[in-house]
Amino acid sequence: MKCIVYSSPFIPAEWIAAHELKPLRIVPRAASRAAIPAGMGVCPFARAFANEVLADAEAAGAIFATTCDQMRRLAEQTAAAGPANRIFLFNVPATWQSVTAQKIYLAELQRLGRWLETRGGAAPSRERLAETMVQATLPTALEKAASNRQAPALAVVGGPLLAEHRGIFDLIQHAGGRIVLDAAEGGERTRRAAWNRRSVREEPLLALADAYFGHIPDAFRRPNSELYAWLKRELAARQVHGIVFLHYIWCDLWRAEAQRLKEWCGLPVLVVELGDQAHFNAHVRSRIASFLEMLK
Amino acid sequence: MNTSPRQITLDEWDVHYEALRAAGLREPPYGGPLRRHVERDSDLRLARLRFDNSPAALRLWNFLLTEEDRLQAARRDGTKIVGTMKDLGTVPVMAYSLPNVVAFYPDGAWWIPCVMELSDGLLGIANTLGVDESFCPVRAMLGAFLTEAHFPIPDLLICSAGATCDDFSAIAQRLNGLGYPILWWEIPSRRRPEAEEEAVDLPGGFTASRQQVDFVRAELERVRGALETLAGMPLTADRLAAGIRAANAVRRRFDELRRLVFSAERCPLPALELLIAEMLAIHFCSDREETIAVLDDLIAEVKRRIAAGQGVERAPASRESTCSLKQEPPTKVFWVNPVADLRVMNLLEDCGGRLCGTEFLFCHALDELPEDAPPMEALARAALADPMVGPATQRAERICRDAGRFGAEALILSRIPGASHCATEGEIIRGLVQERLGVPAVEIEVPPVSDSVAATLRSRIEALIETARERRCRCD
Repeated sequence: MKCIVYSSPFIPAEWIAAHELKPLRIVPRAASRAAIPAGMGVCPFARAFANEVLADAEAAGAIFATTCDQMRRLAEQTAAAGPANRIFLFNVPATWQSVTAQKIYLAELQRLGRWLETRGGAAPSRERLAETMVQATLPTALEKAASNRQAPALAVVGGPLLAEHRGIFDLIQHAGGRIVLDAAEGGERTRRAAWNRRSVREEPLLALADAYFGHIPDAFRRPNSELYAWLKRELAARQVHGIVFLHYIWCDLWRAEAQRLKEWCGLPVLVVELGDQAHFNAHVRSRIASFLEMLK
Repeated sequence: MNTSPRQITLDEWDVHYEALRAAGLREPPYGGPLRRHVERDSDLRLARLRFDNSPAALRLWNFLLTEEDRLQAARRDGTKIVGTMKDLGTVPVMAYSLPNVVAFYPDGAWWIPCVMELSDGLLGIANTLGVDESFCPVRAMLGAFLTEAHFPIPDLLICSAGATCDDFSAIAQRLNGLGYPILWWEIPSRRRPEAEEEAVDLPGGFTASRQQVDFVRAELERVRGALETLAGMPLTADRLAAGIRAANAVRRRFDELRRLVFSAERCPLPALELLIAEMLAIHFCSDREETIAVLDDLIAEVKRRIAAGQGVERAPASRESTCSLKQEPPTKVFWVNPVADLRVMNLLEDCGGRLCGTEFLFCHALDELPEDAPPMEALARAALADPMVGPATQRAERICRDAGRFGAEALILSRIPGASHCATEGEIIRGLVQERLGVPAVEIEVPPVSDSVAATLRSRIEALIETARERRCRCD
């Protein structure tokens, strides 16, 4: 089966699968020898994703999302560097409270469907889409570390992470922390909502749009009040003691939230800035250790 | 009083102003010597700039530097104040279609640190809010809101979101998070219409799908509703049509001014004044009728100079600017992106260049709005013609067209510190310009106060101009 790669949580895997294509959500690795070089102001994650797409000759196509300016612009560069029509730029509205925003998202799903057909997919019937959706499983909440219930309970909050940087979870646990909430991209925060079963039967595409566009809180959304509403609920429910806030250098959308989060949450917050380096340096390790020591 | 055109310092303006007054200079109510902006408002940067010496330029500067007074007067007389953010040119046309509404761009606060040479403290305030130097200098806007020292807090804040630069979007969200309500409206990422889609021509030579135009029109209808509520009266199609005609009256003047300046054999208006004039396009500096009067004065002055065969003389050579580059006719330079430090526009002429085209991020605010379409449709098309909402390649294509129109010999890409779009678009624009036009290009980065990097900036611009002149010689 042909494969379609993407990284944004706003791209519904079920829609791709319903077109008889394999959705592959990739967590890119830090690029070493890369077609798109590191440069002043270039987001390491967006660059890594673009490079991974360029290096992947097997995938039938790749989907970028407009959820950040850098992704939007790197989609253009990636498209220019590769075969025509291999890249699809999905316009995810930043606003969400208006009917127009919802219509734009829905229209983009339909446009994506047409593009998937050009990449070897087949247009799904309503029944096929519904069936695909029903069969899809929703990941369960983060498994809590069973051991050491006395360890400080931490939430990891932030945007997307390179594969290497997901190692921060191990780093925190090795330093004596217990992660009870993964609110980074790819974690619980960015999971779609459970289906509305009735809607899935009657209007599956609408149900799909609602589960993704209608429910995923994120920093880029305008306003992004739902992010804080979600955090408020989850931080309380998990009895979080402290937050490790991660963002990439040049990621304005998340970086600007760091101070606001500190002012808002009333919890200790450690802000970790990540760069192009594949591994955490001693400074980051030391800060995490100190943070946990302070929380104990 | 007949004076040959040249660029003069603030000190020279003091003397020149008195001479003009003695000769019967007539000024609008906001007129006066430029010096007062330094003394009253701490606009310290003025003391380091060189200005055009015409009364028309004096009026331009005074108009620009008294905007806060107009906004405060509007607040006092009950006129509703709308802060429009990010779209750079569309929502103000709607706002000014209502008789009791005035609009301005809080984004314009990005020049306050420059004009006040950082004495304003606005960037420091932004730092404390977690919006540091990794963001575009527009972060000064946060401080301007919190201090309330640079403009009155608007009655309504409107901001476009979606296909915008992340810096501004994040900063506006931070503002929102501090308790300032914002009406967000969506501007989608412009794309070429697909084969099965109806294509709509946009100003500036772009196209979009009918669906995207309709989406934007629906979003602008929300803006329209908010403006009507604020104004307490309907924003009818007739009012909008009249507003569009009035905006076009301004835009036609810009077209004429730019055409005259860019095509004249000798440069009749310095780069700095042209930059300042163009800034009036986006929201009319809080007075649309006066903008027209200011532009008419500038156009008249430029025509007079062209008729007399006069160009702007460069300032007397200082020790560091005596270079051989100044012995030849100025090199025609196309400038991309506005500079955070106004002084750099003076540098262009110091280095032997002159403007022959600009793209300061808001060329859609200079393009005439369609008058043959329903008003909301026309506005939606204009909003989608924003060079920043589409692919960088399309922006680059327009730059190539415009640069070719007036014979650009070189291109300067002025990178905005920290701006998300500058990370990647410069290479695309430069590549296309070099491929299509074959002219040299250079990318520079200009901080709000560029004194510490002035030597580097000068070297880069001089190198560009030297390269362009060698190319000119080869072509000749």
